[in-house]
Amino acid sequence: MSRLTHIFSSVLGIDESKVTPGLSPQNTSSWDSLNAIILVTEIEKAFGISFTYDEVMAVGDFADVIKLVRSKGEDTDS
Amino acid sequence: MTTLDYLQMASAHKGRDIASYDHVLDVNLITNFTDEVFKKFLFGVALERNTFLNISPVPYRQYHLNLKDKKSALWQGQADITFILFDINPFIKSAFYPDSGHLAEVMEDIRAYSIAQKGPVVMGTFPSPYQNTYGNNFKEHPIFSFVVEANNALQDLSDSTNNLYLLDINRLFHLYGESNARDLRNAHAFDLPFSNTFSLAMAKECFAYIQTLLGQARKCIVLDLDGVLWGGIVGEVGPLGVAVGPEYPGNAYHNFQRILLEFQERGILLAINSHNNLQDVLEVFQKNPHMVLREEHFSAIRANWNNKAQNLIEIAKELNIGMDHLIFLDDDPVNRELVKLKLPQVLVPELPVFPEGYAPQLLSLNAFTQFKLTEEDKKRAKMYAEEQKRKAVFESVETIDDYIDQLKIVVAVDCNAVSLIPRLSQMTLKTNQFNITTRRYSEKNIETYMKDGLVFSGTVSDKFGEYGTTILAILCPTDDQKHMVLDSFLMSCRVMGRGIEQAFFRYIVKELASRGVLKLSASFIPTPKNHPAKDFLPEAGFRKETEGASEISYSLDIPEYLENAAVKIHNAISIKSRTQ
Repeated sequence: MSRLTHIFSSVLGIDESKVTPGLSPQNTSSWDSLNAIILVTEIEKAFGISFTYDEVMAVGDFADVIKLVRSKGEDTDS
Repeated sequence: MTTLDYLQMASAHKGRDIASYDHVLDVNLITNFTDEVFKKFLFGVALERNTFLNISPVPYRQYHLNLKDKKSALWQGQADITFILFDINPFIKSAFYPDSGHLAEVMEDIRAYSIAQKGPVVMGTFPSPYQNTYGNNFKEHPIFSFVVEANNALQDLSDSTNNLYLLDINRLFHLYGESNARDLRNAHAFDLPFSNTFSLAMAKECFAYIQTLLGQARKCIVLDLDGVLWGGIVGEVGPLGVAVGPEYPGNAYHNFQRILLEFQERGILLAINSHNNLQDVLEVFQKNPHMVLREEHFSAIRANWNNKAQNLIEIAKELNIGMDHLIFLDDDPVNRELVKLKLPQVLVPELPVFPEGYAPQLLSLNAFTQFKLTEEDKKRAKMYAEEQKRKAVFESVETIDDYIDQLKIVVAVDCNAVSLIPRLSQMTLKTNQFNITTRRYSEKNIETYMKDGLVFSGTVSDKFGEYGTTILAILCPTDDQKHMVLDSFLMSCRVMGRGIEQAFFRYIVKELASRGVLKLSASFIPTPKNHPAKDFLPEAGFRKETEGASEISYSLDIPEYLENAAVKIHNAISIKSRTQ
């Protein structure tokens, strides 16, 4: 399981199998504003990267998160 | 466990039956920032110990309104414990700084709130802002002196308010570092000033207070020897060959012993559980000049080749404390796993591979939190040493009665002694065995009982020394002046088995009779631990009224009790009034 999947599953309280590219605030009730903040800080900590406000606001679903982390040069498969 | 583990725990609890938790507590939370993340961590940390917290935070930015308004939900509900955490952040403008008027006002409200609360109120100190525009002259920046003065004022407030205690956030800030503790983006974007890591650290500190409230603070550190107290194996290298002394790694062991001695001096007991020949071990204590700890610092010693879990059971029994009061330090992972498996109540931390890491590891456990240190705490280790001398007498006499005769026990009884309130509250929090109702009371509760009822306490000594204030009875009035209720009756384990409880009880009954009380009601509430107190009420002559699964009710006819000499009281125990 990748670090990103683990973070999303832990913070949102959902099964790892549910963490798919289409996962979004629209289809996941626990992806609320509070957990969005926690997700950002936990991802930044895990990969040692930081996001700008605009980058965070542009995220629509889990696929966008993968793209964003990759754009920082990080490996999202591990 | 990482931040993610706790978050996962907090989100995974849903759907669990609340009755399946060991403890359920109501917690009030008062902060001046967005506290949802902190709340989530506190909830998760409690779940790890099978404890469910109903946390009620004041609405965002309404702390001031809620503290002032006695009709607010905050004032109306009685929480088991309240946490107040205020942040002063040098990078962000706040109501607290530079105008000090707001703090003065809020402090008065906190005092009033604390006095009205039955449960303890724990307030965080302000973190000192070291990063400010004055650079190395940071101490001259007005915000730095403001925080120092504010923290002094909080200390005074806590000292003068029975129910208010401080949580030293500044200490945590030092531990984590200011830049790791703060999250400036979230502070600006969401008024969320702390990093997840630091929010978790604060949650753990707060939960340590909850554990203390539940009587779960640890009382004894049990130590392996080879590789823990000194380097090397004493059976192979001899008492002078072990590594403890001026050079590395011996100095690291030496310093770890100094830390352990400090723990012992503040009232935490030390014990030994080691696979060694006892004689080899005693020789290290006697012959090695670099040892800080000596045989007399240990309240129980097991140096043998028995199973270490069995040794721990014996140590707990010898010291009259529960398995859940023990911490066991062993450098051998196999022994650690064995103890964790056999005795899950014992706290068995991992140990780093280098000895200089032992002390920080021990300190990081938050296992010894106390609301207040009392005189009894500082005397405790000495008292256990005196206990060893009593044991020698015990072994030399034929009967228990002879033993009690020889001890020449004196019980000094106080009634409603205000100066003892911190100790009496502590006794209700810590006493699990000889305790008929196991009701936990804050200092504020005790103060109320002193106003409305009668709180008798006994300070016990004998020819070997003092046991301190170790027996307590709380009596509440009823609508009928001739009828009182024995709400609590408890005795510290260190004075058990000496017949003190019946002598003390008879003294109280005589007092009540002189005040015109004719009838006393009481109940026994069984817990997994209070079996030793089970027979106290019937032995004192109480009659059983009703018996349910969770409570047995009793009553006592006082004139009949005083006429009837059936209850055996030791004449050798002398009971004296101190305040009356």
